This record gives sequence, C-alpha cells and structure tokens, in this order.
Amino acid sequence: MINQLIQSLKSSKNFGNKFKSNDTHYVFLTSGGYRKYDKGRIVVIVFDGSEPRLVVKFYKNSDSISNEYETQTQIYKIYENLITKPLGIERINDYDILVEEPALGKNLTRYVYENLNKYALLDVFKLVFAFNKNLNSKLEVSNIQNLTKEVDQLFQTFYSNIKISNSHEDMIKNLRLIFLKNFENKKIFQRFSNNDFILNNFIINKNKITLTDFEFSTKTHLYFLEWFKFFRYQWVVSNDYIHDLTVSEIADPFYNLGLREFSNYKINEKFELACRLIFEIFDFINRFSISSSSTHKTLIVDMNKFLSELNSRFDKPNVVQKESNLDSSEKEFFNDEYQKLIKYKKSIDELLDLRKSNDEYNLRLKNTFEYLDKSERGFKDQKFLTENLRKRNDGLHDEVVKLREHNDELRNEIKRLELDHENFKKSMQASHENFKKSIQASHENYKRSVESSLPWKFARILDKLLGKNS
Amino acid sequence: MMNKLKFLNNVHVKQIDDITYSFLNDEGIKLFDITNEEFLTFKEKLKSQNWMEVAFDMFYETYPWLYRIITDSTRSDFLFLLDIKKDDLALDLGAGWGQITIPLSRFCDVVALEGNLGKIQIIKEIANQENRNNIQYVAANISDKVFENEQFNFVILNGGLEWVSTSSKGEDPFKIQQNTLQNAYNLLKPNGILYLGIENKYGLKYILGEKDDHTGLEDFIYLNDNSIELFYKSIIGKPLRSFTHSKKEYEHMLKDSGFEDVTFFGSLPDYKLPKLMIDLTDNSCTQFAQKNLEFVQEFDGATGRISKLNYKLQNIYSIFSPNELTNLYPSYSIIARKSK
Repeated sequence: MINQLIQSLKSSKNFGNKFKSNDTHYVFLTSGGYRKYDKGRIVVIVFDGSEPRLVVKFYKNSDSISNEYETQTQIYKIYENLITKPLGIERINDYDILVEEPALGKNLTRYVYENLNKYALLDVFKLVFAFNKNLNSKLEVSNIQNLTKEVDQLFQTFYSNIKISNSHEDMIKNLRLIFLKNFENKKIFQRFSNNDFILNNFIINKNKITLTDFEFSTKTHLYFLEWFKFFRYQWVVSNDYIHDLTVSEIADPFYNLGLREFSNYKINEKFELACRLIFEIFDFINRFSISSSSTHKTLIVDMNKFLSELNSRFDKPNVVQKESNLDSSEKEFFNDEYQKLIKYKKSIDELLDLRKSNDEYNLRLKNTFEYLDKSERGFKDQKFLTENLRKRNDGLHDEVVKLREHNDELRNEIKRLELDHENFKKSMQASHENFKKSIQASHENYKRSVESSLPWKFARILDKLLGKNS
Repeated sequence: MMNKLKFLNNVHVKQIDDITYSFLNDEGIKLFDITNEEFLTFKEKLKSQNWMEVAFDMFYETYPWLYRIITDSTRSDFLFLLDIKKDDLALDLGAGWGQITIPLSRFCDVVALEGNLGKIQIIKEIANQENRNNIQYVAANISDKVFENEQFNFVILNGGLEWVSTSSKGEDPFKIQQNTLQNAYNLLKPNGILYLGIENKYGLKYILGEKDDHTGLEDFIYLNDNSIELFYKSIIGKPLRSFTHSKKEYEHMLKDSGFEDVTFFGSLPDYKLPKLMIDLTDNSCTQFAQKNLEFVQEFDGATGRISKLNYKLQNIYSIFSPNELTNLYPSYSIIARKSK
C-alpha cells in the first residue's frame, strides 16, 4: 500500500512538486499495539533521495482523519511556527491520508538522552517551557460555566466507562468541587491543545522545537494540565532531577504542580490532588477511546489503583516529603543510569551465581539420585530375590497343595477301596452265607425231595423190612 | 464469491466443510504455545466471549508474552508494506492464532494454512467474531506440497520459516527451509510477492548476549551453524531444528529459490510487534532513523521481557555506519517478488 500511496502522491497535483527525483524510500512507524484495530495508526516518513519530503498519516481501518487535519490546520493558523504544517488530505485506495510537512530535526526524547549534562538539560526544559508559554500567549476568554461544563462532560464519559466504588465516588465529588472552586472569581480561558504534550512529540533542530501529532487535539479549558501529561510520560530523566534543576528557573504554578506530582516532591495539597484527578480522568478517556477491549480492562485496573492511592493521600496531612538538593538528585540520577547500563552485567553475575548454586544443587541432586539409584537397585535386587523366593515358595505351595490334593485323593481312594473291600467282604460274606443257606436249603430240599421220593420210601420200607436203621 | 482453491491431484484431501480442507491424518502438529487444557478452555470461552477478552482473562497475567502475541494490533502492520488489491488471493503459511490472516482478510481473500486442526477452529471462531467471511482454511504442514502452482498473489511467511523444520525429523533442516521458499515461489503467480518476517541471527542484541527467540539460549544464535547445532545437542540433548540466518543468507536463499527482486526492511524492536520499519534499499532511511528517531526498546524474544541490554544497545547503535547497521537489525521484514 505504501508504494502505491507514494506513487499517487508523486503524481498528484498537490504533492507531485515535492519530489525532485525518482529515488523514493520510506520509514514506517506504527502506533501502540494496545489500540483497537480501527484506531491503529500508521505514520510514514517519505524520503526523496536522502531528504525526508513528506509525512503521511492514516488509520488502519480507512477511518477518516479529516477531523484531525481540520483541527491541525486551525492550530497551525494560530501557532504557525510551533507545529508541523498540515499540507492536505488525499483519498488513496479508500484511505484518508493526512499529509504534512516533515519537521526536520531530532526527536526530543533522543536529544535529551544524548545531552544529559545539566546545562543542556536546563536549556531543553526552558525551551519547552517557553514553547508552552507561547501557546498560552494566544488564549481565548471563556467563563466558569464553560469550564464546569467541560469538567462535567469529562466525568460523564468517565462514569460511562468505569464503575467506581462509593468511597472513591465521594472523594471524586469533593475533588471536583475543590477544583472548580479554585477558578471561581478568576478569569477563565481556553485554547487549542494537542492533548498529547509529551517529550516524544517534539522535534528539536538548532534550539527550535516543533510539536507534532494532533490526533487528540481539542480546544480546552484544561490546557494547563499539559504539564501533567508531559511529566507523566517522560522517562529519560528523573523528574526529581528536573525538579531540582528547574525549580529556581521556572516559576509557573502548573509546571511545578505537574512536575511535583510525578516526582518525590508530591504533596497532599487538595487542589494539587484535584488537578491530578482531572488530568488522570482526561487521560483515561483519551486512551480508552482508542484502546482494544482487552486494554480497557488494564486501564480500569490501573485507574482503580490510582484512585485508591489518591484516596489515601486525600486523608493524609499535607507534608513536604523531600528537600530539594540538586547535587544529590543529579548524583542519584546518574548512579541510576549507570546501574541500568550495567544491569545486564549484574544479571549475568546473578545468572552466574544462580548457575553456581544450580550446579551445587545439581550435584546434591545427582548424589541424592545416585543414592536413590543404589537404594532402588538394592530394593530391586531384594525385590528380585523376594519375587523369586515368592515364586519358588508359590511353586512349592502349589506343589504341596497338589500333593495334598493328591494325598487326599489317594486317601479317598484308599477309603473308597477300603469301603469297597468291606462292602466286597460283606457282600462276599453275605453271598457266602446266602450260598451256604442256599446250599443248605437246596440240600434240605433235595433231602426232602429224596425222602419224599418213592424209591426212598420204598428203600426205607425195605430197610424196615430187613431190619436196618437209617 | 471466494477464489476456488486448486489442490494437487496426487494428495488426499478431506473436505471438512465449505471452507475447510485437511491434509492431516490426525489433529496435526502438537500445540507448542499452550497446553491442551488451555486450548480447550480458550475454545469453550470463545463461544460466549470476545476473543480479546478471553486472551486477557487467560494469559494477561500468567503468560503476558503470548497475550501480546495474540492481541497486539501492530502484529499485522507489515501488511501496509504490501500493495494488495481487493481481488488478490493471499496464502498465510502458519496462521497460528489468525493474527495475520484476519487483518489480511480486510485487504483480500485469504487462505489460512495451519498445521493444527484445533488452531484452525479457533481462527474460524475469531474470524466469525470479527465478521470476516472471505477466509478459507487448510490444515497441513507448512512444508507440505498440497496446492497447485501459481494460484496466489501473496504468500505470507511471518515467523514460520525458522520453525518449518521442527515438525519433521531426520531431513536436513536447511534443505526443508530452502524447499519451503521454493514451494512459496512456485505457488505464486507471476509478479506475486512472498513476505518473510524473521529474526536476524546477527542482530546486535543477539551479539551482545540477548536470548535467541527460539531456543531461549544466550550468546548462541550468532555462532556458525555447525557450532550451534553441536552446542544445542550438547546443552539440550536433542538436535536443533530451528534456524535463523543473516541478511546475506536470506538474500541468497531467496535468490536460489528464484526470486529476483528482494527488498529488506529493518524491523524494530522485532518483526513480530514492529514499531519501526526502515527501508534498507537506501542508507538515508537508516541514517535518519539512527540519528533522529526515538530509540525503540528491544525485548528478549523468548519471553517478551524488555531487554536488559537496551541501555547498551541505545549507545552502541550510534557507532555503526548505516551500511553496517543494515546487517545488525534484530529482525527483517522481507519482500521478495517473483518475476513477471
């Protein structure tokens, strides 16, 4: 898409004249991954030869970027020398493309990191402060009703996105009143703000800084809270160090208030707490509007944590926690920076220590395992023996059982044989008796039959006759 | 009406539904980033909850790197480097959780190829929640040859080439990588584009000792291929199957596969979640980024933690010439065009 886009720009009426050669290249920047897809944003710096010629911006989901262009154009009309120049909107491949002139120079975060000495730092913060003062030189008169309306609108949006506990709600109500009360009977102003007044959105070139990025731009009564945004989202230098470096040089209530809130110099003064609350709500709403549904959850968790912290400060007395001391905060900052630089070494040392103790642990573990191995082997040997003995025992047992069974069978057999023998004997005896009886009976019968036979009777008679006894 | 897919005649395809085809014998490659139990819970929760919220609930605290990999909207931003037309057909090789497939389907019709059937079910459910209906799904391994040649305008291989040899055993992993590139070349229509997102083994952070993204080993990946194989086998006890290469090596591999026109972008902090992509065809972009842009915090690609070496890196990057720097970016987004 980018190549097509560049070709379209090169051949367009409005931007074709920006390109002097056919040699185009680009650097592609993406927005944070916490955004929902349709609020994801692409920024492309287009080079012609070795020079950046144009910056193009668009949303990933072909959402219109025309509101941003219009607001940026209005801001540019007021602050021509302070912000990047919007050049126009092009419709390419169904995408609205915002084209602006590149601000030549170095990203201010990078510049600060490369110029950490206190004189250079002081110059940078004075430059940013002067820039902000320039913005404040074009204020529009407004009134307390409009300020109240804007604040209430913020709260309404806030409450529609997050559920607040009763104790937090009471504190929020109190701080809202304190905030608004502070502006009673005072002149009220408003002006355009990009609502993203952070170090990273500045380009510096030869002591001149230019503000870029107008995605969240609005006209607002809360422009003075830009310093809260500025100090919350700068991590290059410690805010304690900036505080001590600039406290005697920059005397602006909101600059100091914002700086204090994000340093160890914070106090529990009620208006300060009220400003912090309004800023956090403002920031929450902006971030919530572009975040994915899962990021919403983290924003809500963070907001609840913040409210709890604010609640505890709300009830505490207003005490100054730290005395300003430039030498000490400078020393502390550079010590911290050096620690960060050698952090990897420390982590290597920690790793080596860990490895050493790990090795020792491994050795102990190895010994333990060896001991366990031996024990296990012994156990296994014993187990083997026991199992074999048990097997043999079981075998013997089976054998005994079998023998016993056999024995029982034999015994039964013997008993059966004995019984059979007895029975046989009895039957033999009985049959003998019977036989004897039958013999006797048959003898008797025979005798009777003989004696009753005629010849026998004849013989008897004959004996009688002959005088013989039977 | 989506483009009809043409598969090779000699492979057995199982059509699961109107838009899903499988060349796998079973569920496919093992899940490597979550457990089976997590997979089942994720799938179940998707039925009633937004996919991003499911990812948040399940992984934000316990596995933050995976949470970012799944939900970070910059993951697919490289797509804007490609000139995609609405009637094009793109093949996403190794579709994973659908982080590329789904945004890609906003540009053109997409075929999501993934080696695990379960993952395909998840991508389908996410696509359903995102109202994407121009995606077809193919369950197969990246190195499998299943499609007829010359049917895609784009082949996307984002974080896939380095892993392609891990699902096969025995074969030479370099050969598998080379064959995969060759296969991608064959699948592309004339003038088609292969997009390759991958780490640079000579990335400055790796040279300074940052963990390799694939093995988790420090001071490792920049060694020569033979050494890393031997070290890995000795340390981990199994053969190394995942390899990344240098800019020159990628260039050779792509040219050997037939690609004539190869363009490199230096991706920072990484091709996975790019914040900055620098056109390396000309040193002016590298020089501009090196001198003027905010330093992009790099991370340990194995866990996603902010690198402890960032403070060192921030200072050391500035000492190289733009020419030298092109070889030291932690990863590349590579656009390789097949000739007409």
